[in-house]
Amino acid sequence: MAENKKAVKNPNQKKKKKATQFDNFFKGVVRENPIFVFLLGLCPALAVTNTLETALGMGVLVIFVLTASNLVVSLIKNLIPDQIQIPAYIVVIATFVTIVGLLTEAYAFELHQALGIFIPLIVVNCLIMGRATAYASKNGPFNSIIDGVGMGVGFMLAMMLIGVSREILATGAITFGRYLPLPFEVSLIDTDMYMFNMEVFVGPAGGFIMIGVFLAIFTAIGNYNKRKKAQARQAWIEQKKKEAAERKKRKAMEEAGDSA
Amino acid sequence: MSLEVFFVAIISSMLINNVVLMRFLGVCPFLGVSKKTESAIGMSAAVMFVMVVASFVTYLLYYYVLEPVGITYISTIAFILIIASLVQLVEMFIKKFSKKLYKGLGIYLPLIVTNCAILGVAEGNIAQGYATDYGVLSGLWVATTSAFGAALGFGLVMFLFSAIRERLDHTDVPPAWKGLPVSLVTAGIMAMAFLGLGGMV
Amino acid sequence: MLYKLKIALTLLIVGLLSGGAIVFVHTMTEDRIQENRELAELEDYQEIFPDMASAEEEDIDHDVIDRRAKIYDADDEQIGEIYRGHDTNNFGDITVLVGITMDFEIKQVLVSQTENTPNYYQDMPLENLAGQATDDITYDTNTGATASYNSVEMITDYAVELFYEFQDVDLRSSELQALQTIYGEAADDYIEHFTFEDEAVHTEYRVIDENESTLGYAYDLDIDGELVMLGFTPDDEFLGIASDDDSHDDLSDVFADFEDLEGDMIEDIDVDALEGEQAIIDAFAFIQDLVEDTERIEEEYLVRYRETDEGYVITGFAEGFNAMNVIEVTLSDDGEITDIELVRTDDTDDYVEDYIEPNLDAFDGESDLDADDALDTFAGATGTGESIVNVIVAALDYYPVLSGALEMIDHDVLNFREDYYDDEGDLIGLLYRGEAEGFNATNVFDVVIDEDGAIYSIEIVETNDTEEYLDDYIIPNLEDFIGETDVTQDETDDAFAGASETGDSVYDMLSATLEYHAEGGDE
Repeated sequence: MAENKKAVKNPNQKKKKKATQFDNFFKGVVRENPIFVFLLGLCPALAVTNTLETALGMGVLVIFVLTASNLVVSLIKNLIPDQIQIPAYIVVIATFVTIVGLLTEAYAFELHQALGIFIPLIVVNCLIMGRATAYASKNGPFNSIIDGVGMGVGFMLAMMLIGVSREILATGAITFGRYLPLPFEVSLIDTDMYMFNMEVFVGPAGGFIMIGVFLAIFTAIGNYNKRKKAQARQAWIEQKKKEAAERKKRKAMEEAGDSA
Repeated sequence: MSLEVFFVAIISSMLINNVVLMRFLGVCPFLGVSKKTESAIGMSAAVMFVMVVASFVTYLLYYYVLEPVGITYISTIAFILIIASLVQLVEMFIKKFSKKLYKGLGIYLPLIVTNCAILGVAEGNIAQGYATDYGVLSGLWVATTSAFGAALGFGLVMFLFSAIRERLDHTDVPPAWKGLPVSLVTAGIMAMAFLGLGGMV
Repeated sequence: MLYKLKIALTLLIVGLLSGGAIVFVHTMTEDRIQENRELAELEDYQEIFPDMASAEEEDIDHDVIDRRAKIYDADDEQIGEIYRGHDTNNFGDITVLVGITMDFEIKQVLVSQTENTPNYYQDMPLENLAGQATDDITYDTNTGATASYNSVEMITDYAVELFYEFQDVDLRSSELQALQTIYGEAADDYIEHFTFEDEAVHTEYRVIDENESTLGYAYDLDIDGELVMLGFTPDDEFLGIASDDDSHDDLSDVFADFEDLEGDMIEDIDVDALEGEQAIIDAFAFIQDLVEDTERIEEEYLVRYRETDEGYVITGFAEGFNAMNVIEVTLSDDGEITDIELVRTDDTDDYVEDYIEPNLDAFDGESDLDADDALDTFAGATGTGESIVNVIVAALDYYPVLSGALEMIDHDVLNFREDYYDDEGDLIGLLYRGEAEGFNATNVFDVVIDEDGAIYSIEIVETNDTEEYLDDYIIPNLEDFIGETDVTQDETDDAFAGASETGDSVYDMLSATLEYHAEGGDE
């Protein structure tokens, strides 16, 4: 009896568990991944992911802006009248974006040149405004920071995944130090054997196709998980039914025994 | 300055440097609002209106206020505020004067603030250096024309893409590819097709 | 009210805080950003000139090259210059930097920005250009990136040209330098008129001024590998002897022996009595022989002629398939071809033997020749054939001048005159050919003056003026002047109102013709 209960877990049980800080962080990376799940911030995800380095750089900038604006928004949320919430948040975000732009131009000039217009465009990245209104304006500073970092990391990892695929497909190598302010420049997996040089992946077309492919892959995984979950649920229901039937049977037997 | 300049500006910003497919601006509405041809047209009209006016105003702001004062580094924050208030203004204006138009465009207007095509084109006009190429005042007209062309290009791909998506909905696509994945790949193929226009001007 | 005030206040505070934060970061990063921007510009320069310490840039007004940078090393010594050029080829824009050292060597050529296909432009053999001397750049034509490489080639050529211009380098050839020593600054250019084979002099040059009129003829020879130029006037008066500017001084001693001859006519020089450098004496002897019984012709393809008992022998000179051909055309007194001889040719022997020489007789007896038809005669050796036909046609065209039917006129406006016959073959008078400046370009006129000295006909033979103007304002009104013996400026102004400048050219032509005709028409 007890063995049976162990064998089939209740799939709904997990949701009832209280969310920990780790979950708060981790949800942005996987379950609520801004690019692959919510399709937020697709413009930079397409435009600056032609190399791993630019994708990484953009990711770091977004983490910074997202965390900082989340923090500030959560701090001032009670001081701002409802009516001007959005304009005030825009000012906060734009301020951090400008600061980040200036810092990048000063300390990572190559990255600044490579990202170009997409640095100021972080302002209109739906992800940041979205987190400010949906999370930071309703939660405390600490949780907001965790949420910002988590979402940012999720964004960055997704960008890097696209970036690394596109760079390898296009050039057959991964280069470090060209855009980021590293003291060295090094090419990884640089094989002269690679002769495809699919330049379409450097260009816009490759960006769209790459994201499409990843979305399809994640959808397929999601579908598989869903199916498994459904199966598990089904199995659990069957189990419950069986237990109930057994209970009924035993009860009837007990009653019969009693009466006997 | 000849008419040719304006013609080239429109063609190049509409087809060759298409905002969505070549410059990756406005991808969110491109994917989000293009499920139906009707809404795609509505969104494009709203974008065109705001984009042209925003380009005009931000250009003036940059060259007649920010640059003389020497604070061009706050252009991002200035531009986004201009665009946000412009959208607010336009919304109020349309609401007051044409209920019909408001019904058609109104729902798209709030979305436009976060449409990076608007800010991107406004910033692009400055980065493009029209003012140094044609002089500040003439550059204004070229920049505005170019913004108009960009909006036309946005509308064009929105319309094309929505038409494609309406057909895609009725196509038998593998389950994992259903919806966005196949749409994105389609957009990639469209981008490839637009790549071919590169040598035109 | 209070609520609105609160909103305004909050926005103000938010704005102030954000402004303050931005200004703070801005002041913190300002210098570094400025530095970075400058460095980014200089980085490409540094790649070309690794020793660069500083650069001085200037924008230049040129179709292709837009920036010139002087590069200095740590000691502030200029080590080179970099020129930046743009081009748009079929594959997009390309920006090329060309580095040139002060020793007139290409330091490096660099593609700094391009929309061209990376695989192609990256494979361009640009490193081959490094180290080449600027006056003799060999481009590698075996590149797989033709479009990109053509752009690179063009930009490099312009960069070198500008570099020479900025360095104030004498771009004149040594020939021109020598010629200018003899003829003075007026000598603007020269035409290689004729080259001799294994003779005491190499080439006959026709020296021209900027209006392309002949200043004289010059001949060159080598003395110890140095160019020596002998100059004569069109009438064969000896003008002087010179070498190019950088030649050694010892040549001036050699030249001194011949200074006394300056101003002498070539035929008066007693060659046997000359003393000094034998090569120069030989040259004098050769030139004397050359001009003794021949006259020069100043026409394209023709060099000189000599009169014989039967007629004229005209020597011509034209470029064939491989090299120069010298052709002698013998004309009878009636202007008919009696003989054509290929005096000298550098073209392939087989071709000449098979296709040219057997066919030369085909022209005997001709007095008028259509160039296209004549060319068919030499089918199989078109290049050489064309050069021969050019000479023959030119010789036939020149015949009227020789026979006196056509008289060359030395005049600002008029070129020549010849007898004019009408369609029935009756002699009407003299046709004058002349050129006068119109609105856009030179107009060429034919004006016929009849025996009474009146204008018989006017025709515009060649013009670059707008056709509409000519058709509307000029040609219909030319008739007004038929029969006139005198033309005034007022008359033409009236007749050609609406196209005044072209009208002026008609006036120039008509008045010059009538004046010339009245003065010397019937000699």
